[in-house]
Amino acid sequence: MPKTQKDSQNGSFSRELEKQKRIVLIDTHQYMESVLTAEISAGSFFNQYQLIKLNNTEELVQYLSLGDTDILIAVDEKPDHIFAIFELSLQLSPHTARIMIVKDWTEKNVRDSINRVHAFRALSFSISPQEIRMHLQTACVEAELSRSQARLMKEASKQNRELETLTLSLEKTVEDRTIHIRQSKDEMDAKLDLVRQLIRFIKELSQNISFEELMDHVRKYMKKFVRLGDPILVLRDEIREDMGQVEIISYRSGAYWSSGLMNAGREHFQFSEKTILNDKEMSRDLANYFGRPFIRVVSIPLQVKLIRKFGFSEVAAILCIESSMTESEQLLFLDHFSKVLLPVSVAIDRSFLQRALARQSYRWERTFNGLRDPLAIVDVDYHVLHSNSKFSERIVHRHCYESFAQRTSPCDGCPMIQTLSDGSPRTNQIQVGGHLYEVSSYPIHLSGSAKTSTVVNQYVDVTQARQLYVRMLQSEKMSALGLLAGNIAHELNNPLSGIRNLTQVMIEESKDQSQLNNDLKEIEKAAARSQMIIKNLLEFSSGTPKKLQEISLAEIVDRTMPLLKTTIRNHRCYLHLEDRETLVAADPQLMQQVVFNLVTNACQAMKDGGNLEIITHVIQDGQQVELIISDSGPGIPETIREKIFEPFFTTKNESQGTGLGLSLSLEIIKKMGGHIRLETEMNKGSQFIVTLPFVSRKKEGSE
Amino acid sequence: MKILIIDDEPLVRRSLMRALISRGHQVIESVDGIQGLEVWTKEQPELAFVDVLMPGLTGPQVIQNLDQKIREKTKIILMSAYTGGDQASPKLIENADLFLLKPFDDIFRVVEVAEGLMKENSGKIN
Repeated sequence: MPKTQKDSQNGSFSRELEKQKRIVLIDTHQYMESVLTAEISAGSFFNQYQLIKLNNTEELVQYLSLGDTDILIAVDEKPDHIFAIFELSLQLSPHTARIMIVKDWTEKNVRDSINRVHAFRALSFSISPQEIRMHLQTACVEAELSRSQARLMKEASKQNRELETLTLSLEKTVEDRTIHIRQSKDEMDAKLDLVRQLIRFIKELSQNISFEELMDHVRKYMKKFVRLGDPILVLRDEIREDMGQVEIISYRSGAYWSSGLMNAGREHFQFSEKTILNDKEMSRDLANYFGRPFIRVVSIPLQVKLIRKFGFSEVAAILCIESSMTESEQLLFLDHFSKVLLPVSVAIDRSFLQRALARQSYRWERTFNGLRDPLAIVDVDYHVLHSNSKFSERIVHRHCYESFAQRTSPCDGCPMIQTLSDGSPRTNQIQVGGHLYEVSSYPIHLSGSAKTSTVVNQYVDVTQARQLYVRMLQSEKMSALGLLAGNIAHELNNPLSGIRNLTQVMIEESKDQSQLNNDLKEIEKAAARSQMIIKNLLEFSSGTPKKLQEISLAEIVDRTMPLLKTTIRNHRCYLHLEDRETLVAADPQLMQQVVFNLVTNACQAMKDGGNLEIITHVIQDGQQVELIISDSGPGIPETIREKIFEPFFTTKNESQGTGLGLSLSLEIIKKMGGHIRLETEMNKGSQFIVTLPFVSRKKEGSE
Repeated sequence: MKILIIDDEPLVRRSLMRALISRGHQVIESVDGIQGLEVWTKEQPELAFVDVLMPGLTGPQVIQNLDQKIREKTKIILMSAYTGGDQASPKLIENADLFLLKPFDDIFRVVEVAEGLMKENSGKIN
């Protein structure tokens, strides 16, 4: 506080000095003192001025050092004294207006007064008081001017100085700042670099799925820490009795390798939940496994939350690092490593998941492929999304129908359209080649979509079952027919045989009556024909298979035609049965069924009536016999010619045919060593030609 | 010759009888197995036409129940209506001298066969 007081005193003092303008007078010998004093006192002009009278140079020096003097008046006889005083004044107070009054002036003196000591006025003793006043007044104005100029100069220079100081300090500040910024930039760069490294590391981790690759990156990341061994990953997988559960992934000969799952026993490889800086048990277990001592092992458990959440609660992973670091180095390392611990854990977790997923998916794949039936997952556009090996044994195309049925459009009867529309499972049959498949379409409900857009199709080959069923039906039908025919035949045969035989007796007895005799002969013939029909019917419908028999094809046709009378009644029928002596080895009953079938087909092909022609003859090489059944129907389109012999292929309504007639006929004929072929021409008709090998020639006269 | 016909079908009996009579044979008829067995024992014919399926006793049953001595004196022709299967089982034929399937294509041919059988028999006796 005293300093401030002093400051304020100085301030008031300087203000006083400023107020009090001074006129200093040195007139040692009082030559002019009275005159000057009178003049200054008289004029109101000098009110503001204080007149100070000094007697010698010492006093002047003292005074001038106090502050500026406005006007200095020196009076002496000789100017030399004054020059000394003025020189002093010039040094101490340059802005003072200096007036010298001497007795006499030489020219040289005047020149010196102006040039040497910058005198404002050089006057002589002889000057009048008016002139003195005038000069004093001028000096006052001059002094004032000079003084304000000096103040301005002073102010300017002061400000200049301040500015200079300011600039200096600013420059320093800027420099300081720059250094600081540079430092923090370096720090930031270092941090950024670290973050970049971290990101790169995490990125690398995220790109790899296998434990081995992950560990490779962890190892590379840890390389900057010296005195650490290659990290080892110890895993515990889901418990599987057959395979053990502990797996060790370690660095050997330039890469990471898995030990595979092994049985470690309950007491080994404990999976701690905490980081252990010196895990003695782990060192022991690792030493046992690797067959070398481990000094100190840091074991860091990795959190695998996700895989545990999916039900694999036993899964665990521990990162083991052999370390020869000091305790403080080790802590530093752990601090650093804690930053990547989470990403590493997540990556390991993900690898576990991936593995579980792969295992699961492999299991499903095997399950699918293990199934006997073809399976395919098909979307709404009939694209096969996935299929099992049974389905894709064939060449895989984009669409299911291309792959499965070699078609260019969806299969007739495919149930998946309906399944897709209402989301409920459907089953239907489709025909592919010679096979009949029962297709079951099951909807796949994917969460989040209300509409079914995918189905899994199961294709069960029911060809054999269906064939067996139809054949069983056929055989049951035949045996029912056989039973019925047997009963009827028995009942009819007795009276018929009586009629015929009695007629024979009567013919014998009426030889002399030609009219009656002829009538009786007609009756006998009719009865004979009836008997024949019954016999044929019995043979046709008899369920018991017979041995092959040598018989002519003409004979077969003869036996069958009476049974077809209603079928052919709307058609013109031409029979050309040649080569009756040529026998084939055939089961007459089955052979009759073939003829029956072929003739029925021919007649059904001719809806509005037509020409039916049946021909039997030996073909040119003499080794084979042909039975030709031709119609004048519309012919068979080329697209289905290949298929008509396939089981279940039919163009008829359900009530009219089973689609088995031709396939069964072909089968029967093939068993007898023969073949059936088709010749057809659109709008002209079709010919079914049965060829059987010739066996023997009927001997003359034998029955 | 005395010939017995056992058949439940009148027309069969009648036609056979007429044919046999026209060849000068003596014919006795029976309408079923039971009556046939009686008549057979009583009349002791040289030849018998026996139907297989009849009400009462079947043809083979009639033959079985016949006194052995009487059986040996008689030639037996067993007749059966054809029903499609293979009915001439060895067992049936064993009991009979001849097995014929009805219907007969020619009744006089049957008569000839029957006469042949009887000739064989009388030849043996003689």
